[in-house]
Amino acid sequence: MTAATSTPRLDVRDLRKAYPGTGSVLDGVSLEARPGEFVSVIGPSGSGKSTLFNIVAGLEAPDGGEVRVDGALATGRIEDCAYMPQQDLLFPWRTILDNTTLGLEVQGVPRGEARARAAALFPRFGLAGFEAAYPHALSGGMRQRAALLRTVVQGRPIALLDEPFGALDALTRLEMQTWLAEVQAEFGWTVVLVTHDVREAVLLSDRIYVMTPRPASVRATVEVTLPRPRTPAALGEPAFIEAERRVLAALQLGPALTAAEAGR
Amino acid sequence: MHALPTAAREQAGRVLSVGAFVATLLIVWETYVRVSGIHPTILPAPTRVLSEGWRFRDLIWLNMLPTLGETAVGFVAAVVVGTTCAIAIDFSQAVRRTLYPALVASQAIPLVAIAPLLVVWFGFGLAPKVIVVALVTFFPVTVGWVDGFAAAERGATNLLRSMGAGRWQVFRLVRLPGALPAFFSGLRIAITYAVVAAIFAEYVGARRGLGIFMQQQQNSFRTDLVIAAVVVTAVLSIALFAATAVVERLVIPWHYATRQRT
Repeated sequence: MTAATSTPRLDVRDLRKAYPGTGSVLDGVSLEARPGEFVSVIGPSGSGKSTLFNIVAGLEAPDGGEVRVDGALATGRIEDCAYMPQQDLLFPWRTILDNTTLGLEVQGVPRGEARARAAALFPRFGLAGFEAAYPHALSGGMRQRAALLRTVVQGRPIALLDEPFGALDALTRLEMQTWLAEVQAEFGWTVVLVTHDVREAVLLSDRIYVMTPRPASVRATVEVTLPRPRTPAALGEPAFIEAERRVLAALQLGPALTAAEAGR
Repeated sequence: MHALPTAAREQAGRVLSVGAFVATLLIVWETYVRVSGIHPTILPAPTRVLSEGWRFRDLIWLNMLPTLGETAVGFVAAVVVGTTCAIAIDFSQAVRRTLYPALVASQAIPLVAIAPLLVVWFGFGLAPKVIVVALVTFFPVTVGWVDGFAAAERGATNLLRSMGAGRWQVFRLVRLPGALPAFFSGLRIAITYAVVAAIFAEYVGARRGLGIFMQQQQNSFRTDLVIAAVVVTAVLSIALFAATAVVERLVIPWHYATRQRT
């Protein structure tokens, strides 16, 4: 792996955030991602992962801590991260091509150039021929690929993916995960993924940050050493099973974890 | 596969049942008038309404045009004013707090009381009619927009903000297009009120128009012509409603395509 550079692409240090009423949500969260790395954040529901993403994306200000991008202070800056939300949020009034150029349009890229840049990615995203289609005509998997295209075409240093495959059926999800592993390695994107799915995290990641329940901090960091991109064949590898076991152990050790949550 | 023929058959069935219902009503009415021998100034037969209406078609047409004009001008004014109000409300909490209650209050104004005053203030010309039409129709338009703006998903706003969009861009790219279906719902409600509002305004004082025509015919005991004018009014309303629906299909085809899927 070529991630030998000393400055991380994304360096999140000791983020703290509390809301009036709900209390502390983030209680000192630190994580990092080197260029081209794929890291995952996994934790129980409501453990503040969305808050973490909003702060990293620059949409919310932390109470304490900082975000650095390539060594420079980037807390509150929105220009560094491209964000892919849980729902695809493709606009029904725009064609797929016009949906994917949305970010470029907002950033003032001329329409022709924006369309050319997005259109060039359509074949690799399995969307060739659907440029002029409207979102309702696409399958769930295709919609998620279009949403990812809209994210990465912005050319920002870091991609934040918030449970991108949560709404898909299990088979489509596995297919999408395999595909994402391939294109991520191919394009060298730096990705931070939030997920509830242990297998997804292990299949895709170089490193997994396991969060505690709220107020969230990082309970364990699990490195996955298997070579990437991985295929579903990796699911049976001893190293895969070992990583999975360690993530699960970290998740279930939580004293605040209820029996129902642990059994999920 | 069979979706389209089934839909077409359902549509045909609906038209047929409405037609049968109206026909039955007319036959009962006609029979009653003929059997009872009731005087046509009290209740004219449908056939008489039709023949007399046709005989005076030039006069009815001449009175319909101003009504149509007032409806159109008032309606367009309502859309402009309603849209402006809605955008102001969406952008400013202060405007929302002050303007929204005032808008609701405007709907509590008894038109029966205000319409004659409008004639006193603005005369027998176009202005008082346009004001009444606009007063009646701008409310559903405004509420349609405001509800539509509010329906924008928080996630979509966050997504746009993460792309670096400012408030105006979020409005233009998400809130405005997303509000179009709700706006058109308001528009369809508004257009059904519009014609009646114009006629009401004419009733109070006008030189020409279906409203004043009805009043004159009533005064000369031409009940048949009053009913003929009512029929023309109904046809006009339905035509304008249909026209609105057609415009809606043309402007937001994606809304219908999306709805059919889900």
